[in-house]
Amino acid sequence: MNKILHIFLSFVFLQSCNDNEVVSKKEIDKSILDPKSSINANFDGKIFSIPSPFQMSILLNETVENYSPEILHDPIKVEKYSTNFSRALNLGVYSADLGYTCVNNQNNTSLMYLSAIESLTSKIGLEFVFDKNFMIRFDRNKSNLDSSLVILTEAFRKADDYLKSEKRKGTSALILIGSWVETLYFATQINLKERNEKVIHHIGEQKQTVSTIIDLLKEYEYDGDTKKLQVDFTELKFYFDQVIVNYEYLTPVVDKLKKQTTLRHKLNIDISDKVLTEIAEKTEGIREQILHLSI
Amino acid sequence: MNFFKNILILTLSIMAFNYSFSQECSGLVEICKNNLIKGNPKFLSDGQVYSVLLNNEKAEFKTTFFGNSTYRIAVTSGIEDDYVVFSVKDLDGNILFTNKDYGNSAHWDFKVPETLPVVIETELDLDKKKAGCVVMLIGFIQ
Repeated sequence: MNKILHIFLSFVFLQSCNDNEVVSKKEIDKSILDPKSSINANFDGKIFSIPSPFQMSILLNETVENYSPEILHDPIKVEKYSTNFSRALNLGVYSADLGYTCVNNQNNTSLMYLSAIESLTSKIGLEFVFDKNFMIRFDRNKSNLDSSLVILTEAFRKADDYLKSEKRKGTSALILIGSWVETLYFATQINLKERNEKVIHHIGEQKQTVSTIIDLLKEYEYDGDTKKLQVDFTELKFYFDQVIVNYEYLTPVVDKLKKQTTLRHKLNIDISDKVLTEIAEKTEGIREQILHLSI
Repeated sequence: MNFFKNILILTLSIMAFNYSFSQECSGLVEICKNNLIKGNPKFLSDGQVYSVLLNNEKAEFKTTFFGNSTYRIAVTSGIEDDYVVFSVKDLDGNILFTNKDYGNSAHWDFKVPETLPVVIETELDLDKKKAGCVVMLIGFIQ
């Protein structure tokens, strides 16, 4: 036992002194690593990615000119969320709402959502991200969309970094899931109001993300509360599985000087009206469930 | 008694080990951020930090590049810029890009006229670094 301990401690010491030194793979026993740590390669071999709610709002804004405030969640309801689960999911919802109001230059409404976000973040240990300095900086730049988006996306990146480094990947995942549901709700509702082929295309583009979310919810099954969401997302996936995606590969073009690759593939997305309606209804149902948590 | 003592030492060592890597990852995020925001216009972060501890293995994840956007992938695993190899593949496995062909460049931009689900694969260049934390950030501009 003592021998094993000495070998292990020697490894820890060497690793912390100089990580460039040769480390034999045999010396690392992966079973000792916490599977929920963000620094663990053995996180089921998976890293998760969910589209930025800000980007989705920008894409929708480029496609549809009209601002639709009725699709947003009510910021006043923020105080009713009393569990980490409901707070994290609704922090995601409000983040997406903030993104939508921001890209539509609704500065005063944006501040209301920012205030809701500040309230939720302070309750889940992220008060340092949306602190007074942040609010002042955001307020000063709110008339400049580009600057305010840089400030906001950086803040959310900081929050994500903090949660992951504190081994709170579950909370980070719930925030992302909440924001994704809200942006999908925007797209489906905007399209129901007035059919728009580009918006339909954006809805179809989400096919892959549904599977990612189901994987995420399974990963955090221990939280208990995720069971119902897992069932709902599995149903949503059933509808997304009926979205037909045709892909044709074409060799990309590289500009070495600019450090840029231009993709040239072709991608067609086909969704029937029936499937589109089913996706819209299921998304609305999941969103309602999230909004009414702990209320 | 000795058994419990050993368990305690082992637990503390594991905590120190994890803490050491956690600190390493946190420090790398700022370095990576500099690669993400180089130049004008500024890329907006997708709001996520992708960090992973690698030791002679690959990490991969799926994401979607949305059409009419330009993406930047920035990576780091230390002070030197060329420790990390990353590749972008389509879901059929076609390699769309690998920084291995460009001196392990620490960042690369992708102009995306049409949406595409992709797989991003990351590994350490074992000739330069054997093990450690790899941080990746993804940014976009419309």
